[in-house]
Amino acid sequence: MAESYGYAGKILRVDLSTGEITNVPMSKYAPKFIGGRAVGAKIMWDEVPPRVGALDPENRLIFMTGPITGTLLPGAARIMAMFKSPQTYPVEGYAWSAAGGFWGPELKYAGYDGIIVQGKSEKPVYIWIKDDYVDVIPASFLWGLNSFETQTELFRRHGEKAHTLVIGPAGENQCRNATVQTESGNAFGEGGSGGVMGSKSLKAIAVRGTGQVQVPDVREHMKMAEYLTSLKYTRQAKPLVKGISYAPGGVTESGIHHESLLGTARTYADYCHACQTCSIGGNTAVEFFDNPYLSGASMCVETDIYVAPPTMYQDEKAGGRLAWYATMLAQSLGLNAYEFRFYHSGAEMWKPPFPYPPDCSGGGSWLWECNIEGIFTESNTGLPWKKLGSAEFIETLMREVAYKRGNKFLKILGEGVGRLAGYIRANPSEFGLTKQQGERVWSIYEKHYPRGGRFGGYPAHHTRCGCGSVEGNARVTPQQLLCTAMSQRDYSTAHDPMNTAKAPAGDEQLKERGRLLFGDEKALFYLWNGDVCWSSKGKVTKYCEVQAVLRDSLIFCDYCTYYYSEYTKEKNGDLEAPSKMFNSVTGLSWTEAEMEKAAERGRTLERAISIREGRTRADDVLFDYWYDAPDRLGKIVDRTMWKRAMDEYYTVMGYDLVNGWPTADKLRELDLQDVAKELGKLGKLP
Amino acid sequence: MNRSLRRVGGISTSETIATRPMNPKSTRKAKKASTKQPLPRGVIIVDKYACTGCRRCELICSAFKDGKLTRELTRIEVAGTDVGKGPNFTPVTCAQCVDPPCLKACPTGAIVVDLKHGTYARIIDEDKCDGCDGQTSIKCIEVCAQYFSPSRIRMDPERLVAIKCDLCDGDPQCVESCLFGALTYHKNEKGIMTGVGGES
Repeated sequence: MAESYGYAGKILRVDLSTGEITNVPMSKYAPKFIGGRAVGAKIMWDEVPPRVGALDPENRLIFMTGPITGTLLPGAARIMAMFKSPQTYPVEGYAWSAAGGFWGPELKYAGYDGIIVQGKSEKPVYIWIKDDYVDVIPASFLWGLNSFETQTELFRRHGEKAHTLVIGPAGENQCRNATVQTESGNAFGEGGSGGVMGSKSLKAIAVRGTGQVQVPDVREHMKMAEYLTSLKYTRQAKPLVKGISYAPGGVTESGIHHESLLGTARTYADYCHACQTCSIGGNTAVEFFDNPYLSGASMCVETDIYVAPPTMYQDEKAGGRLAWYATMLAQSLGLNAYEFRFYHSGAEMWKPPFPYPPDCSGGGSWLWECNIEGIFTESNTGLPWKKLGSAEFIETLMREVAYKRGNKFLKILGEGVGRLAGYIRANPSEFGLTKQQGERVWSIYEKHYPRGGRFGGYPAHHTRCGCGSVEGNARVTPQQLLCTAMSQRDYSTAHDPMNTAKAPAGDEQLKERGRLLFGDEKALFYLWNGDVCWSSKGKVTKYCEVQAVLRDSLIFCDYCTYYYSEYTKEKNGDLEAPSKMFNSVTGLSWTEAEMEKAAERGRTLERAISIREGRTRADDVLFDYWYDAPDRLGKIVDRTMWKRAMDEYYTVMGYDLVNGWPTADKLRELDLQDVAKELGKLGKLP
Repeated sequence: MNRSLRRVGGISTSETIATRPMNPKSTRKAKKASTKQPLPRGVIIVDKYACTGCRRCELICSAFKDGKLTRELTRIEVAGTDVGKGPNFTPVTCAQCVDPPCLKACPTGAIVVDLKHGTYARIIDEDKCDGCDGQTSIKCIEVCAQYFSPSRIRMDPERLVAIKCDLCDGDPQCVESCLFGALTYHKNEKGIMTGVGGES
């Protein structure tokens, strides 16, 4: 394995309880599981039994790179984190999270494909990796600093060429909605990885690598990189609607409004920000002339978590300084922006109750809506509701949550919105609410956190829309709802194949692509003859999920996917890009079918982990609101069709229809006999 | 000296990071002591505000020159980080000084002007370079660091020779590969006033 191309050859294992540092050979997992997310799933399956709690020392926090990480291929800079998630509600379950930046490539150059962190240190520590030298260093001097201060301090110690993963105060206090931050603008958001890291008393992982990633033929590799870059490269900023522009890449939406920042800051209109070898440079970067501490970078929805309230209540221009301040506050405290997002739909600012199901919602919307209905007040939440939209409001909210020092309401909010909503429903009188109001709080939660069952707790994330879709926001897209129901976290990590699949304009092309991929020209359509199209949606869902695992295992960026490219004939992109990338760096000659099989293996293994944790088909559901509320076109989800599509999905995935358990045949086909054996012992093998 | 030529080294602050020495006073001193070299005919100019910090140039450089995917052997370096003071990336590479201190400091005469490819770049003849023979102080790196930070010359730790930008014989790969227009290759047959000794 050490001689093999692409991989560094070993995974670092750090046991913080004993201080033991060992290496695990990568050949144990690769190339069977490719890398990244699928390898992480395998390690979680092997090492974390279901009885382990998310914040227990036995939980693993695994950071994995993929075979292409650190090479020249565009978007090959992502890192995956796998862990048992404290955010999943009500039962803690396996989840994954991803971030970009430079840490992953740096780890690869240091000679590791990933890190497994286990155990718990008695005192705060950080891990310092310089090539073969690995040390666990006391970090009392870092404890209590926010994520930017921590990184600055680490750069001072180890040089600016080092790259860092850090947690902020929220992670230290083991908030279930804490993130792990790397530099500015990149973080492991959903899942609560920061809380897991905090529970291990691990403040940071700093890495500096001086090695290289070996590829079989560098010249060929450069050509491949150039080719893939040519498919995705674009530099034009595309105005979408008034006030909101797409970043230069044309893919990442940002809520930052240039005009309102004119004179005080430089925004991405002339300046943008990228991860290593990015061909898009789609991160929003803002540099404030008057306050350097506000300067930084951010991505996509994180930039507009606090756009609506300032606009509606405080005469702030949409997406101005305050919105950016909220973004940077979340980053510095290490909080998951989605748990604090106040929903708005592009330039349309709606007050709750929102007319259509929200597409990218969050905890802020839930708070806001409960406040509008008169349930949450200043006295029972401790939040200055009269100042909603001001800096003071968002500061109080985020700081009290991150430091867990507010009243009971805010303390439980640090346990995640799901847990707080559940707590209020169970004990309304503690917050001076009636039983009916408690139920109402829960039903408003259902509007923003779509997945029901025992493995929910994740806000809507492109659940009912299409990014840049023709019909606009808030539409029923069956495959997106199906993916949301099936996922272990929010839907986002499966969203790209589908968004891009419908991105090419023109019905004829959608038909052709549907025929090509699924043998069904209706497969990719939302409406067919005026009705919601449910044809082949189970297959489409499988395709989304498998492609997402493939992407997260190699690992390339969501925004550098090749299912669609405006630079190719017919705009069809290159569907064989994953195997081309893989072969270019490993020297193997896998076909696209082999790649997909390995990814399906990873996906089925993830399902098996959930099954072992107790998940069944009864948990693969959405709350009623998500079936019954009509979208902008007046369409709802037909439950008969829903069930039929789910059946189709279970069938194509090789799960049984009663419990949604992977069948023995499927597990054998995917070469997962050990998984079958263990599931059989548990009586969960149909 | 043609005035327009003189100004090439100083078009605007944003574009001359790579070509502007840190300390103008020492530049003047150096100028007095100059032994004349032919003027460079090409130089890489950097626009730091267009740089996204993706470091593609770094990887392309060592991939092209050394056949390795590493950032350690790059002749162009993206300095800076986005933490604390806002996104702040500046690619830095050899300024191809008019009066190159490294060339004068080299004890073996390994740093020469590339007359062969017509770039007149200041390049290192790796056959002559002995890496200062195992000494701790590498002369060219030391003297470059007096004018530029970080030093534009670095050591290849495996081959033990100094390496620096040679403009890829007139076709700089980093400029080719930069997707965001942060790097431009400036050519002038009459020579360019740049780097140490290039300021009026």
